[in-house]
Amino acid sequence: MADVEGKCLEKLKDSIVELDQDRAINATMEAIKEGYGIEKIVMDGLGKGLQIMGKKYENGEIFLPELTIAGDIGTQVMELLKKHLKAKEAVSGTKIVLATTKGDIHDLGKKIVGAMLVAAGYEVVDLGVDVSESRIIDEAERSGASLIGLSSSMTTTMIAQKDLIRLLGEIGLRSKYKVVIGGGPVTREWAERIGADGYAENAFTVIPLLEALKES
Amino acid sequence: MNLMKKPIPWEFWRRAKEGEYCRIRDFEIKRFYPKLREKLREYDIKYNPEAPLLPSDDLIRDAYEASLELLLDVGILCTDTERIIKFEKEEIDRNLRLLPEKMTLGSGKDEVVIYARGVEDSRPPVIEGGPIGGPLSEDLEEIAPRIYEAYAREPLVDRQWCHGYGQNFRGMPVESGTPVEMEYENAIVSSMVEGIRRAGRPGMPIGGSSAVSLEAYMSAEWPKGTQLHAYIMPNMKTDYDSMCRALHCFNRGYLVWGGGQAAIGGLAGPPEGCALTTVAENIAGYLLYNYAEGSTFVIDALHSGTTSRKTIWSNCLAMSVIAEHVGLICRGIPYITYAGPCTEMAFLEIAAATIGGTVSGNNPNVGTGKGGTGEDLFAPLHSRFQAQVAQASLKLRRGDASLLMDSVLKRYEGTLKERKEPLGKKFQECYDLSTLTPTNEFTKVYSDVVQELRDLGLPVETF
Repeated sequence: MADVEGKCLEKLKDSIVELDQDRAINATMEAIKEGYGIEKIVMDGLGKGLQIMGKKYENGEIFLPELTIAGDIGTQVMELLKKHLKAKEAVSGTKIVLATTKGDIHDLGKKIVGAMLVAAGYEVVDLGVDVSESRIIDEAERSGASLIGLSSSMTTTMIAQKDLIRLLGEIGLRSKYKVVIGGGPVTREWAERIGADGYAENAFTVIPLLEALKES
Repeated sequence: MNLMKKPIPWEFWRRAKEGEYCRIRDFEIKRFYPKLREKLREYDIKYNPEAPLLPSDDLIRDAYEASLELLLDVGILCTDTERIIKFEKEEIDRNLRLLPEKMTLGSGKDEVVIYARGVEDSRPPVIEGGPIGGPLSEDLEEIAPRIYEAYAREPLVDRQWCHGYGQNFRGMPVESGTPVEMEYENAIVSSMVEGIRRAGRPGMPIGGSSAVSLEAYMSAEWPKGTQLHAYIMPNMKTDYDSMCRALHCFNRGYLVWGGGQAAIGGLAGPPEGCALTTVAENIAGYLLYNYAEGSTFVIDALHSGTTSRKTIWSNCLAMSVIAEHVGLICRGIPYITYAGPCTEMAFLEIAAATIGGTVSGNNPNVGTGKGGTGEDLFAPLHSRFQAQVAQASLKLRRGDASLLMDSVLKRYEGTLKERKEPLGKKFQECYDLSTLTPTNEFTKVYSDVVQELRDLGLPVETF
């Protein structure tokens, strides 16, 4: 391994922070050629870059578009790693399906949560807005996710959070998924009342919440 | 019956079908945001927390030019067709000339005249109260008319708005697109009409609508001249649903209102990006939906509210640009407060936003507390206080107003930073329901804050 000082991993990290997709791809290819394992590339290159971006977002130094672009570059890098190293399972993070519930077209909060989760190493399947309960469950089943995140911004659409949890129970899948909820009118009391596994008051509380759920 | 001079914008709506194709994500990330950053750089517009809260004439002019160019360059994406509605400069100029300088709202002795106010305008703003922006509790038919009546009993409240639903109605969940939602919307209108009638102000201007689905929106019978919403969605997007809402209003003799909804930290980025986006969205709303009234509602994406330093700065810049260069009648902040009723902090938030809004040419409003998350966090006394603060601010120039706002903000910024804003009390807890007057405890908090403001140099009169 010629790259004894890990320069290509440093380059990968920097290219994520600089939102330079071409450089990130080149750095990833270099790291593969140098013989680094997937875990090393993800932990010391990609992951560090995304963590920096997550922190910058929290500090108000960057905004959702930059965080989203960083996440997109991260996804490209992961695809490249899977393709070249043929070890999909080894690099898969925890998978979460995100959706804004049926009848609701608000997506800002969910987008922020999605971008922060990608930055934290989660594999995010974002189904968008106005998504039916059955589609959420179908996509969770299809993607192999273990977590479902639901966002609702209105009292008239948060009822769908309750409906999804009930439907999971009715079809015998409730224990397979941890369901976390959030959104403007959503409260901890509501989460407890409908039997959700977790409630996120804002985007910053989502990751600690999911980590705690994973441990439990 | 289109109540505006501007004709129904079929030509602009046609462009939703024939404009340039662009995927939503590409529009947001590759088109809108880079152009926004480019305009901010080109005009050197940047939020500075140390700078005065209210903008200079130069900043207002630059922000207008940048916003206009943003709209011309980016256009508005119709999300149903994923095609871009573009506008020509000449079309914008020609249509802006058709904007009314004033409008009469309501009827009979309860009529009010609302002006397209300018920056440092000595004409008082129209004060809007009502259960805005937060949920009502389940016993809608019992409590809602009382809330509307209590607001209408406040002589300084000029008009009343509703924007918020409960979770249940008559034992059933209020879900979007269901008969329950339609029935609920009708019940809201009945409650409002009943509430203002009980208060002896049957012609009081009302509006708002809480309907999420188009069918519920279209099912309710409002008085003629009511203002209902048709939004430009964040950021610089719209859809056929909004066009249908606008057309419904034109056909029924309602006025359309709407405005910007940019969020700091979201796709419009920093406070300065949200201000420009808000101006562009208000112009677009007028072009596409004949807005009789626009609004600014820049919130913090990560801590929902409009009364932090950066959100107030951003809203005031957008309001000032709209007031001085667009000429659209405009309503705005605080809309929602971080703290709930019966707390010093909520009054201080209202004061900071209202001083800024009044001097920036806005018609302020205040609705729910605690970021719109708690049931029945409404207080007509907040609206009375807002009217009194607005009146006291009419003679202020921007420099003095900025200093005052800074002093007020410093009194609650620490609490905000720690995210320890108090929940406060529900309407039922801070009002005597038999007399519809605020409790002694609430009145004491109000009086203390009035005195604080006087001590800071704002001559608030409690008439």
